[in-house]
Amino acid sequence: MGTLPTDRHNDRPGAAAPEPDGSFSRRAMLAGTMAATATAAVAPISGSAFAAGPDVNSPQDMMAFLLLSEALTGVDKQLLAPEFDPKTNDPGTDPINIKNDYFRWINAKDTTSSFAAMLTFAKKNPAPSAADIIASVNAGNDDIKFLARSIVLLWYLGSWYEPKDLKDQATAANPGRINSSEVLSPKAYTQGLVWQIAGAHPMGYSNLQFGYWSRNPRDPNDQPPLLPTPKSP
Amino acid sequence: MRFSRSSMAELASAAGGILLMLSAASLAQTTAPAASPAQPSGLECNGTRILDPFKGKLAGPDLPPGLLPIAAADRDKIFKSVLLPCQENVNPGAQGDPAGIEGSGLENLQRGFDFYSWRTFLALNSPADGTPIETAQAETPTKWEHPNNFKQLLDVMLPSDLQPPVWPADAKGMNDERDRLMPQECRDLLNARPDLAKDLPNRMIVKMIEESFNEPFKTGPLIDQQGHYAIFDILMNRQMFKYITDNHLNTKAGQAENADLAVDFPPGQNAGAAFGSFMLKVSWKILTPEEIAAKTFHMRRALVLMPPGEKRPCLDRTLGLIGFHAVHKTVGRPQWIWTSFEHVKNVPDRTEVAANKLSGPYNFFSVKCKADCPAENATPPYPWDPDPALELRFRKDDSFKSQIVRETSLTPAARNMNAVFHSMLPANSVWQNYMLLSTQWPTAFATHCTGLHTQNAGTPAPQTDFVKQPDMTCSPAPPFLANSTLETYSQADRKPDNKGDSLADLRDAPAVPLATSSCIACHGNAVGFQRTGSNREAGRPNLNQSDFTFMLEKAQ
Repeated sequence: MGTLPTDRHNDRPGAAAPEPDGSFSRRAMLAGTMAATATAAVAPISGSAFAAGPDVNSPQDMMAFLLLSEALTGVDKQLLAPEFDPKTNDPGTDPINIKNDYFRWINAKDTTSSFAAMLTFAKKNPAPSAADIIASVNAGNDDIKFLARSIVLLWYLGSWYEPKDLKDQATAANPGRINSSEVLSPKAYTQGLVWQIAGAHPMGYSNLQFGYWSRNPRDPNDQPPLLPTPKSP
Repeated sequence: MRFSRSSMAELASAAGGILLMLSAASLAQTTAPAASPAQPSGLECNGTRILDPFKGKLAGPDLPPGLLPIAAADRDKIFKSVLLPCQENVNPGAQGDPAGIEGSGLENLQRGFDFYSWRTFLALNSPADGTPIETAQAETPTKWEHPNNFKQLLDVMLPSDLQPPVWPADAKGMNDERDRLMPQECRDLLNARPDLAKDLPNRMIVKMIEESFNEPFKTGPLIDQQGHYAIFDILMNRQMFKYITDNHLNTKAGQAENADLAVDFPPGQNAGAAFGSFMLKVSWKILTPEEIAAKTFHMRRALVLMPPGEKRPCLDRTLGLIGFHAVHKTVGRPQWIWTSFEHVKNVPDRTEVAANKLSGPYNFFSVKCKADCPAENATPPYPWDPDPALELRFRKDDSFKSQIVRETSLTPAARNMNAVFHSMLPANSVWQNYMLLSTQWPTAFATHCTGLHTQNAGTPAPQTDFVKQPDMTCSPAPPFLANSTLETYSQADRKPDNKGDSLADLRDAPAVPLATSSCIACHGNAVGFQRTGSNREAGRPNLNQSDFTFMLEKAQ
């Protein structure tokens, strides 16, 4: 989505740029008590008894997850993980940190080691493009392809659709609703990308300004400023 | 420099008279920001950047060894300057001294905000007579209680048949206004009680409405261990008052007429040492004679007018401060900065209750009850409205007392910041009994909220965020914050006792957005009585939001 505007009001005497190069800006949510220690305290659960599975605390795995997610969703990783510092796996100044919840969830739900395989697609050297990652996914088996669909839905809706259910519906003679989807958490319920892109909000939660419904939603791809400034008091 | 050069108020009570002497010259000494020359006077703030000098990581869990005692020179830098910050001075990187780096950008920023919060708290609670806070007694009137600095909401949102509110700069003018707005019931009381009339200069007048006893979202009153209601009051500073009255927002009709106004209170900033808009919400406990003698609360004698009804007794009570919400709009944080303090003995933590490590007595929790303890964090039984005959006792037989537990413990960072500031105050200071819970502040610097300043180049100073979409809240940190006295019943729920799987903490989160207290998330929904037609010209936004304050909806 291009360069983010620098925040001149983030007081830092003498400093020019607010962020070190290479870090993104995005929100991560911190539970009120746990702060940044949450990422360290949680042990990753992988399908195998060995610690070789994807690790939420590994900067490399998290970076790979973001590249994978960026390719799958079409949304810039800077928006998936604002404020993220890939060198230290630090959520930076993002108090929400939804990416960690999603990583842990996928890792726990995937019993086929497909998640680990997909992360390796993003870890290739030289660094793969989004198209390369997609090609790798499409060349994979059904487990991989339908897990990819689950991941897309997870980012967009904050809900988990089991890959198996997606596969059954995809090949069903009369595809119907998938009633087994599960909203991860109250936090995920509010963080679906679909709301931000549509300029809307899920039932029961809104952080939009009062009166937002009276004007056209803003295309997130618009770089120019928003509406003309209303007249000052 | 000594404190509060501009506040040379002396409270002198002569027999039967009120003498508030304020130096006219000092009040006229205002440093106006470039944008608005007619900045009201009032509190002086410090526009220089003061970095926190504390060495080591405060994010804990423990205090860095050797941090205390704080060196006298460091302490003086804080206490011997003007305490009140004009704006926050925060940094995701180092504060200044390399030893002051926390583990993450978020923690560094939080530390900066918590430091700002303590300075603000001490500044506002410093004696109104200009003496230093180190020598303040429990009953010493504070700066925020002084009529020159803050005005109660109900003295602003007057019935439309009264002359509009005024806030003169001189003592006589302010007293005349207080007299004008003195409730008849309190006049009657003063006539019947000459001792109260003589004490009137030292009294706060607290006029109650529903929000004075019923917590946000009408979640219920809070009842102390003596069976009395806790009382809440809301105040604003001169800058907010001026904006409200200049724009006729103090009545419903005025707001409706000024429908085109994008409500945008003036922010504080270092440049020009402008204090900006500041609002307070405080909670009080009615003190017993023993509590008054013990001097563990900051206290004020008051006249309390009970909420509207058939009868409105005006009561002579001594109030003890139990909670303190300070909210400051700054040019860096147009979503405001939300600071919460409370009395250290209000309630125990959930962890303390679970481990049975209680150190009572508490203001809102009984350690003595056995099998008959009230349900924890339960709202009181109906009816909730205070009965005039009971004079702010909840029930005639005192059969109900709130049993409140703090569900979310203070972070180690907040605890450590509290320990640091307590160490810099005299051991017998009443302010040892108050602690910072946390500071909530907007984090997102770009993208999902339109930045901390409007992106329109032509916007006049101070260029705050007129158009606050798409995310009005700018992603607050911490995401949830509740004061045990002011958001008692919208704390995060207790975690369920399931034998968690690896995802239980993620899935069964006790905090639910908007149901669990978050200052900015809730206040982001505040609106007033501005009405605009639909079908407005293309591109013209309808901005009926009231800039994070519910004050405007109290207009009559």
